[in-house]
Amino acid sequence: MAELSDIQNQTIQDEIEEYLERADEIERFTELFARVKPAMQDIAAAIIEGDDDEVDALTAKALENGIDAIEIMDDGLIAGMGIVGIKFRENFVFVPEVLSCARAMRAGMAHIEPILSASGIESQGKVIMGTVKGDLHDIGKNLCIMMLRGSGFEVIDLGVDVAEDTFIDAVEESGAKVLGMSALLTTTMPNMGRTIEAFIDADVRDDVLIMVGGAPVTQEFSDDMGADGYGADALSCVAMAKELIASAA
Amino acid sequence: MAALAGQPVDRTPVCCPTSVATVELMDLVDAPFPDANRQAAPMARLAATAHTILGFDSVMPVFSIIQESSALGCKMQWEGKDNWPTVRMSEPIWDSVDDIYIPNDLTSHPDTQCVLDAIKLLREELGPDVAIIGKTMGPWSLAYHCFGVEKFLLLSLDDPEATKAILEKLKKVTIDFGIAQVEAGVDALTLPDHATGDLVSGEYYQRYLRDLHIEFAERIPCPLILHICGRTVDRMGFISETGMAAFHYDSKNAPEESMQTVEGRIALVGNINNPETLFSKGPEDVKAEVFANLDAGVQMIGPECAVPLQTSIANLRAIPEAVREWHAAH
Repeated sequence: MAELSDIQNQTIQDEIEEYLERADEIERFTELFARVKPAMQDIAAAIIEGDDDEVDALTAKALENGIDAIEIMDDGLIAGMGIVGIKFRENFVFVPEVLSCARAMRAGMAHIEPILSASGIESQGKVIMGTVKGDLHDIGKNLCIMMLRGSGFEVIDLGVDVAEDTFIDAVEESGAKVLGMSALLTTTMPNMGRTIEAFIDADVRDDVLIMVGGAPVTQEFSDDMGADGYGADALSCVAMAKELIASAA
Repeated sequence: MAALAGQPVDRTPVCCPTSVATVELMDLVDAPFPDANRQAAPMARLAATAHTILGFDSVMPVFSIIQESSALGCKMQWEGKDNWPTVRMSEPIWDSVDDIYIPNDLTSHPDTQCVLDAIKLLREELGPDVAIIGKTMGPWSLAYHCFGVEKFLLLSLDDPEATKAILEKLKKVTIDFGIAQVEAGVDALTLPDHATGDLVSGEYYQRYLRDLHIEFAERIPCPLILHICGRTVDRMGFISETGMAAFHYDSKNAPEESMQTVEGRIALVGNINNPETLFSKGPEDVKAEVFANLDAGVQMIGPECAVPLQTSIANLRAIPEAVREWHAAH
């Protein structure tokens, strides 16, 4: 079993020691970072610190040094965002800090994505995301999208105020197996259920698994409207997307 | 008003610092959205129902959080009867502090003037025994509307001084519209400023907003009710230092824990859950939450935030009924 001292990067050591509380997560991240190259630890540390310039430079350097793009994404960028997600879930950091880390993630992915696209490597899966009709709030949805992309998903963002037909068309055109709907308002929350009914009426409900979330949305409300999954926060959204993609396979 | 002043009361007041407008109430008095958000007469008619139909001890003519933002020039989506109006925050009007322009006629813009006119109508109709609560938005919320949520939150991390400069400039909107409503006849003002626990830390509240809120309490000449959604126990200590009369708190904070946190330095208003209780359950469940607040010593009872527009009148009436039942039993 790996020890914290097996991790070369001091920031990563400190982050695990200070912010991770669950034994399984401490073990998982200690094992992960003890295994990966020091350069990947440095990228993850820069992600956690929200330093987009540093992530940009370190990612470019790692590629120049011949490190595989997938390795940089998995062991550096995604691993770093994993720690950020846990800190967010446990209220050690809040939305501004997560936005900053996501910006750093984008700086790294700007180098990685063209390589992945050219090599035809498949993502974790395709997810469609949107805020329902009548609702213009997108901060929660955008956080989910950042975490999904940071976890290797391809995400189609339909934006805000998305009509039922737009969700249906996007699913049918893209072939995505998972759809995520968000709502912040109690007035627009029922539009999630109406969208699910529209999928049933159009006889395409079986084409997609639907997950829902948003500040007023609860597991009970999700169950009542017939959603396939509910996520209380961005980290839960990623876990739910993985679960739904696996069940759709 | 005695409750807001920290004085003894005969009965715990039932208060609506945000909005209790519903579609049923709109139909009863022929005051649907969006008219009731933009015209004084339907605005006043709908606001009055909080007292005349629901039995609350206060009325609130501002049902949303966008009147000032519309007057500032934000792009609006006014929606229809079954939804609240919203600012199109993905199309922000300003990019930096230098862009901020507060028009001299802010309080005479049609979307702010209608509030002032509605307050006067309510005062004439309801007389002095019903508290009229107005609403003036805090600078943090205004910044979300004018700069976009993500941009403003990132700025708060990247450039604290620029963030403070924005808040400092926007406070004029809060003060001017607040004073205009006091002059129009309100008894108190709700001041929503969405530094919510879902978005930012308690330390953020202390760093960016506590001193501004102290200034609002000093400069706006009526009792102020601060409204912040979400989990806020981590900032209630700072909030209780502001000199505001009350804090309108969310059901994500337990009544007893919240009362212990503020230690009597500020009154609490709340915190009946909206989506799970008022919207989805029945009067008995509503009453149970009212009793929990009263048992904890919460000074004013009401929904945690603007109620869902499809909330039943029966559930809203259960709030004052429960308060009367509790007092009868105590």
